[in-house]
Amino acid sequence: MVSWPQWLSLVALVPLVGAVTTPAVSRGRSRVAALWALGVMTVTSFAALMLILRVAREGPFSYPFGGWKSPIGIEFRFDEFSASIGIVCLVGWLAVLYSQRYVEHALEEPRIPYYYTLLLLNFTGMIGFAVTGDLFNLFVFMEILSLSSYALVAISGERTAEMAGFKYLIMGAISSLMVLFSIGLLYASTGSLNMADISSRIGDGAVGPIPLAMALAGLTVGFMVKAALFPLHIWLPDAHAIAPSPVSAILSGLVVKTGLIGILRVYQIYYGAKVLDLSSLNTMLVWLGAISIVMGAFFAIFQEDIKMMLAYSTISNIGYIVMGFGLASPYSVIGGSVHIFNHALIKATLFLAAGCLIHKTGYRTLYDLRGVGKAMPLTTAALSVGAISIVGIPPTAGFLCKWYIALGAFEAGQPFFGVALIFGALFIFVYYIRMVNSFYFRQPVHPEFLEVGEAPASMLAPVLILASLCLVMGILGRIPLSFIEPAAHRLLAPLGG
Amino acid sequence: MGAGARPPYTNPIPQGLILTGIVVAVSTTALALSLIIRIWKQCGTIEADELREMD
Repeated sequence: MVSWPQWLSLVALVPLVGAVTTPAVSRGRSRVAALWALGVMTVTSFAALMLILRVAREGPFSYPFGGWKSPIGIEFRFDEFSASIGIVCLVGWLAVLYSQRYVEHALEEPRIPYYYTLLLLNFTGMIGFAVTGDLFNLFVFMEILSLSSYALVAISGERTAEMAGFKYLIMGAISSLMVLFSIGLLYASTGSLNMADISSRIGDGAVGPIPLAMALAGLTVGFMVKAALFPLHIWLPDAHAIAPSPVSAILSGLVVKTGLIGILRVYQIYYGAKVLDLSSLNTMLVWLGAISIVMGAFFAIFQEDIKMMLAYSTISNIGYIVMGFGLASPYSVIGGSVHIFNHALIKATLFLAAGCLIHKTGYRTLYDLRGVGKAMPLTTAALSVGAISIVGIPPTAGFLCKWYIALGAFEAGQPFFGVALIFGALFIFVYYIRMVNSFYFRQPVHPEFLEVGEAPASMLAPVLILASLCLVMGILGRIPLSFIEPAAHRLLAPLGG
Repeated sequence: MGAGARPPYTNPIPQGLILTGIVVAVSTTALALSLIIRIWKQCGTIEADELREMD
């Protein structure tokens, strides 16, 4: 059962087929569309679980489409980094469940089935991106993901949402073009599209360094835009804050991580080939990561809108992960990779909880939401757990990854960045304290919402599940760390680490 | 391939890639244009300067 090879193709095909059939199956009935999307995600999650169990037991494996072996055919390749589809399925499933009640208010009725279509397409893009072994396939999945994200940001049909979606689209389209040109460049100089094959062909030394360096630059910058690393983050705050809350959770928790998986794939190609010295790229990424951490936190302090604050906090956390990759020591790469997973949990908790508050009270600034802790104790508690996790206070999910990245900084002989990381955490602490303070310890400005009560169960349950996972993953944090360890060592092995 | 086919052959892969690239670019353009139309309907302008003043 576990090693049935077709799981690997099904994990991307099931949500794709589910997405395009949603409008036909539901025929305008939003309830049917929600159930259908939930069913599709359940099957996908099961397939993802099988794949993750198999990679934990046997290590990486691949599936050639149509029986054409690589490098001739297209192959899906599943390694430990691909296991990020597990968090895509988990958060995706919960977000679909949460959407059911949320979109009743937030969207016009006829748009709802298409909303689920876009959500499922979005998951298809992310899953396909993480499991494919073919560079062009990677681009196609990235575009499925990007196009559905632009549409999801704009879906509420409000003026600001459409403007934010358009801004996102322009930035995203430019970055996609860069990635496409770089893929073309790599294909022209190596004659292959399979990532492992490209890596070995580059390693043979038949290709001059200039096209390789240009492709590297294009891919890195393209994926940096997708990941919203400073200074290419300008599209993120608007898009993430204005989108409907379940979409914000997906965009912030999962979609930006696709850019990071992309950067990891680039590293896999170039580290393995050993023809370019990547240390200057790494130095740049570490610095940009550090600047992202500080700038994201700095801007977040001045935000009044709760979702805007969370969106800036995503920039900080992307900074942590990129810094982890750039430091290129085993500890920091493990910490960064696991933070992809943990940050998705934490940010989804925060955005979904914030969505509950907005859904029930109708307010979204810290000032208006003062004293909401008395009205909605469970949601606010979940929000606080998320806040503690993201600051990185033990024993929550955020602590271990940041600890590992800091250890990595010391291991790599760059203790300055370890200090920057702790300094950034303090900054982040400041604005989350502001949030918790305003929810619990201030007198309500709008006393009428003290009567509203908690959000419906289908919205509250995902928030509570995610919040408890934030705590559980802090205690069981060794499991993902030891799971990702072989992949990190394999990635860094050519460096002699 | 017919019996009379003789090299040089055309590499089909770049053609497949370009075709896919065109499809992707057309869809992106379609989405961008429809967003522009929606923005124009709601704001009555698509001048970036005037839109910035509205925010």
